[in-house]
Amino acid sequence: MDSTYKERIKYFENTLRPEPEVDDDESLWKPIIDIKSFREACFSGIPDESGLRATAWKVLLGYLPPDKRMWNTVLTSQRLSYYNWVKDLLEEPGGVPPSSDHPLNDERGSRWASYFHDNSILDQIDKDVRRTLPDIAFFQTQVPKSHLNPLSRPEEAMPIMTEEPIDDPLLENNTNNNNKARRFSFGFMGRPRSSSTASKKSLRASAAANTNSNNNNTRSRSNSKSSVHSTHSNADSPSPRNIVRKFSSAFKGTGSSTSVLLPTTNHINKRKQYDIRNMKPICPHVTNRRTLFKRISHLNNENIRDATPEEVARQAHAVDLNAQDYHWEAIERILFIYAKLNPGVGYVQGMNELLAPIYYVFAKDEHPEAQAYAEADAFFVFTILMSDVRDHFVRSLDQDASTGINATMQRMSQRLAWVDKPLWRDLRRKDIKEQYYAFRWITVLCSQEWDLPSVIRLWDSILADRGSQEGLAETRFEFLLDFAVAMVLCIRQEILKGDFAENVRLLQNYPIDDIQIVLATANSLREMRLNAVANGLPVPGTYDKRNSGLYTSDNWSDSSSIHSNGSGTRLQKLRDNADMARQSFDSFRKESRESLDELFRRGRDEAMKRASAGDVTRSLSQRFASVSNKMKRPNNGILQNNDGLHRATSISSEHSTAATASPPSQQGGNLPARSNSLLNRFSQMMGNSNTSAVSPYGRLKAARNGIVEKSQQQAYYRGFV
Amino acid sequence: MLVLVIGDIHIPHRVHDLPAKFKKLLVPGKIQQIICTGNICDKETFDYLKTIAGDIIVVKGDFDENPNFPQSKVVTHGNIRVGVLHGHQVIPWGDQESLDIIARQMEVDVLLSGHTHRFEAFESNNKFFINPGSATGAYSSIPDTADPIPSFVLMDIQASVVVTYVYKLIEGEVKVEKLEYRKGDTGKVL
Repeated sequence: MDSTYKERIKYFENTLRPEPEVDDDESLWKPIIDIKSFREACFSGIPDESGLRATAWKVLLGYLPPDKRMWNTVLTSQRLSYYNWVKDLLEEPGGVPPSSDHPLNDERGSRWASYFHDNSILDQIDKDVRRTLPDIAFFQTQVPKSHLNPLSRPEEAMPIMTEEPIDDPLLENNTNNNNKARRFSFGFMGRPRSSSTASKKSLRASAAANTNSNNNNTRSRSNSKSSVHSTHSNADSPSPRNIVRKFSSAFKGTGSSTSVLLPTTNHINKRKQYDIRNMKPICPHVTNRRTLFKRISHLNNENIRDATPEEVARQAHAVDLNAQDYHWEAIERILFIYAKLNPGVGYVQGMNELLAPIYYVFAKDEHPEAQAYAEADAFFVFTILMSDVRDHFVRSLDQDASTGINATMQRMSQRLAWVDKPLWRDLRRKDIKEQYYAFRWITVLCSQEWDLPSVIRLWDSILADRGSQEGLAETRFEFLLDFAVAMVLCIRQEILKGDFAENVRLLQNYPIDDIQIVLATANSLREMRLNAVANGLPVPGTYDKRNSGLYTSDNWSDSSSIHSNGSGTRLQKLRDNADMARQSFDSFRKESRESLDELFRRGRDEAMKRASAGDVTRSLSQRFASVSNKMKRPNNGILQNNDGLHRATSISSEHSTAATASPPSQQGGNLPARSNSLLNRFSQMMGNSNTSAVSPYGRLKAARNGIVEKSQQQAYYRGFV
Repeated sequence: MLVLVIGDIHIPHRVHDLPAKFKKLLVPGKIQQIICTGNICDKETFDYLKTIAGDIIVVKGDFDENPNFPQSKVVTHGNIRVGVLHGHQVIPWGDQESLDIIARQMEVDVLLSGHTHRFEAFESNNKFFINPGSATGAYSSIPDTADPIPSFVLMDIQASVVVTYVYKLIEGEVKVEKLEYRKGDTGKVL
């Protein structure tokens, strides 16, 4: 962007400020945000300052309406609903008389039965969340205490306190001590002048907590924002008495204590003064917020009796209903509630990766009010984001190449073809299907390929671009596809040089570290695309209504599926493919040592065993194995389309064995010797999805011939060249 | 934390199997721990119990085939100490005061015992006594015991509260009752 950094900050602050400043006489501030220009501005990155990004994301995703005057009401109502959900959905069963419901009840309406069913979901979520972004210590730290947050540990009023005024210099003094102890603490100066005894008591209590947290470096270290200082003299020295006092007072709360916060340790110069002491929490504390972790705490220890002290401590923390949550526990809660509220999607591995950056940005927001409600806001923003990418997570949509993640990957492939045909051809020649690398890129919006700051910067652009086209949800991520294509383009040379294994390895462990390079390419790609659309040229890979006849496949694949007997197996193969990609999600992690090769070799062995048992479905791995062995086994028992087979093999490889796939399916798909060539399988998928290459004429001719499958493939490659 | 208390199964000596309805209820995955008061008698039955929950504690009954079970055991869940013994050691069999003495000796809050083949759950002196009865309704040599009713007990232990669900097979139907015990309070039986 042309404007300087300071100008951009000013623009953002102005746009996002809910009320005009008192000295704003330039009347730059407008109550309603101009979304279009706001998106443009966000596209080139949002400044890292003080909570601008969190608010900007909320606006970009539609959580906050453009009209800033409505923000307060919207926020309050939404947050309230979230806390109500927490209260309702985390309830433990057992209140009902046992004649109608008891723990061993199996009936569908039983609360106990659904309780156990939820536990299995919860277990899955828990496993994923614990490993989320292990490099970033943030998630392993505790949520800062705030009296505004109903999900934070409530404070207790200490018994006898003296009233003392708090002076500023002493404030400073104490904070310097504490700054060393924690890395993530940020907060502000506030001056608790209220004379209510409640506030004084809590100050005392939090002072004790403060000193205690200085000493206690096990679990409650760092980030306790509530570890506020007070200037009572006895709070300065970490005497055992203070610690004892802290421990002995179980923090049950009134919930209306103030929490004064520490100044930041980072480089921001100005210290904003945020006055939250008079704010009341919007709802009483939710007491059963931690019941989630208790439910599955037993699943995490196989052997209760041999537990080491750390495990015992962790167990105790999990079961403790009054402990302060860790950030990853908050994420777990969000995901669980999402899964409960959206049973159609449930929880799929990968959602935690989507939620993590959102939650991170919100929880790092410096404004204490926003930070206290980070969990609730993150839930809603996550839900909105999920509504866009939901199709990528629904497994039943994996079946058809025109829906779900397959469709998106297809579009990406088409766009790559449009931009760089030779590279695309090269990838196809080596049979590097998008599933192998782009699956993870697209489903979690590239959050696994880059480190967190880059991801956040990337998401600025993706979210800004989202919704710039009206219409289908599928069009919301054009920039994501641009970016994915750019990622491939940027390592063009290496791809062209390497062979299959090297390429896949490269694409899965993306070599470039600096995201700006790829972003620049993506930007130019986007420009190119927008220009083309503006000039009326068809762009493959976009949902462009003018070209729907060519680019969408629904009609054709439907009719072809009626004719061919192999629809089941074809779809099955599609599903296998996506299944494999999903299952190997873990191995796609950046840290994973296991290369794709090893994974597939393993899968191949299993598939071999299955094949010997007569199992028809070939796993992806086996096909890989066959390719990596450079063997193309022609179809053995196929009598019908042999001529098609020969003709096909005589031409370029990618479409060659397409024809062989159909005949076995026509024979009922029971032949173990059915072609298991990788190319075969994918070209089938290509045929299904019916890319731009197929001309309608070819299809008609095929239909007339009556051999639907074969001619489809013929027309496919004929039109393709 | 769900703990299954079951005992006096006496397979294969007196009965050949658990009631079908009980087996249908006891599916793996819901129960965290099994405490067996003894007299399983059979290794196969013991293995079957192991499939319901991984964590199983058994004490030796007078007819058990496995000599390696302990006579009694104490388990701690939260701040509730649970003690188990079969009960044939406590003379007179099933006597409340004798059980009380044992509970004090073992320093437990909840004492599980068996042998009488009769379900009992009562509270005395702030201690809770549970007898899950016989899971199969096997014959009992104690005089004045008519046909024992098959029963077992499921304890839901949360911190200081034990919610007890009693499953009885009465005339072919499973009936469930619920009791609650709070440590430290006088406790209420619902």
